[in-house]
Amino acid sequence: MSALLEVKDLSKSFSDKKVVEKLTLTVLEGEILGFLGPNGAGKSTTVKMIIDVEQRDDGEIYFNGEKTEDKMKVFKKALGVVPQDISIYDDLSAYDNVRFFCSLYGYKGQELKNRVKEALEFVGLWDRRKEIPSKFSGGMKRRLNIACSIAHSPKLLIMDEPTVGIDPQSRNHILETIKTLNKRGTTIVYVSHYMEEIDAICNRIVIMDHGIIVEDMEKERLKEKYRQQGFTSLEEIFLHLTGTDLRDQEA
Amino acid sequence: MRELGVLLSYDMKRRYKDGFLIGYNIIFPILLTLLLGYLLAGSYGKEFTSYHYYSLVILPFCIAMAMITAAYVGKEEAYKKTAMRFLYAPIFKTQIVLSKLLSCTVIISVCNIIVLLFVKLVFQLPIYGEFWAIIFLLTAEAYCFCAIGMFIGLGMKNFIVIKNIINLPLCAAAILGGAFYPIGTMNDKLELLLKLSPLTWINQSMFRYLYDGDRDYLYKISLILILIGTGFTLLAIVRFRKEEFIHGDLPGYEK
Repeated sequence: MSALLEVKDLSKSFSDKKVVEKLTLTVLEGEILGFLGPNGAGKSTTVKMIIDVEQRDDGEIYFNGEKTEDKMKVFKKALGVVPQDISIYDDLSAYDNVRFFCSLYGYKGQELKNRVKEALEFVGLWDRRKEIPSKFSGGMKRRLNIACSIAHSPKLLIMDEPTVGIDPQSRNHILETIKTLNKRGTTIVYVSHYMEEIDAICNRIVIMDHGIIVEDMEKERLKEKYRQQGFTSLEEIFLHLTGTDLRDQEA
Repeated sequence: MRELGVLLSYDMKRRYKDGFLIGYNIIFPILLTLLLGYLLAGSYGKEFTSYHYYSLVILPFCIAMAMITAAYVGKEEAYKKTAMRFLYAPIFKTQIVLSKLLSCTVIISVCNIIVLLFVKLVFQLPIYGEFWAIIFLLTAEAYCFCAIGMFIGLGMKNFIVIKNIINLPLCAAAILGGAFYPIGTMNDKLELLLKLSPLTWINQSMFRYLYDGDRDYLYKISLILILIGTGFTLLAIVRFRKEEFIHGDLPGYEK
């Protein structure tokens, strides 16, 4: 597999506090990468720098071998992000939400309609397309949040805790959706605290803490490596690498 | 350019569906004109009535208040938590600012036309061939104040603070501009103070055009308003900060 996204020596400080320090990471085409870390580890800041929402202090980001700042529009067209906060208009119908966000990527006419239909069918909301999200359950809102991020068929999809606060049925539906998307060729970076989700869908796992990467390995190799040290589950490995101290997230 | 069209089309729909914006810019000026016109009916003559006076001065005041609406529109995506999607989509900050600004200006201008038609018909305001020149002036004013509001809204996080900051100078400008009661003085220093208010320029330009036939002054003021608006539009684009666009605190607005 070739590198789709390469992050080299990425750094960010807020005031005097280093939040991300010389972080280097490669996302391979076609994989589902699990991006783990305790609260305040620097995951969100890293993701924000990658998607050009946060200014970086140092480092370079390459997409398909080209610097993102040189081809920002190309990069953004190929990028999909499922934000942790549900990012939809409560007063627009589900259809209009997906239609609007997809149209920002240059789609119009019949192609736009087809994409909106496909995305809503994909997340199981086509039958509810005329309803406004304020009437939706948490799981439905999360699925609509995903539909808005995938309608333009991104090559790289970054999902930031997309299953927070939803019931097991909706979570299962979302995880199945992610696997199907990946089979269709979308590379996925999956940020989550839920170890069982990471275990169920990811090929490779990156664990970050205190602004640096503390482990980056294929899932099975990682489990094998730590099994020999007596850690049998991903959660045990995670706690072993990041410690058991409570982390109170700073804004 | 296509992205600007998409954004503008959606922003127009959002403004058009905004009951508060429409109500504030149509119903409020009409009610205020009716109320002040009625209360001060005895202070004016029969040819030039209090309704004529307030028809002309209340509308520019309400347009100036649209600055608060524009500031809110600048923060709308932050409150609705959709700002992030705009920032990683393949669109530019200039397109975001322009679509919001133009949608506000257009909707407020449409409201102005409706109000002006209403007061012309109901209060027999003597506007004939001057109608579109007055609309041009009011559109220039709407653009100017929306640009200032957008600049402030995009540069600050807390809407309540924004509203409080904007309210005070707006009310001062309205009093100095004679929006509530006609103000005139022979004192040079006080005269200078009155002229500091843009509402004084706008109101004077309308009266001079309608009653003295001075069209040049009205176009001059319109041009100044457009230039100020353009300056603030550029400032809003240059000073656009992703951080401020994403974050917004509006009490009671949580998903």
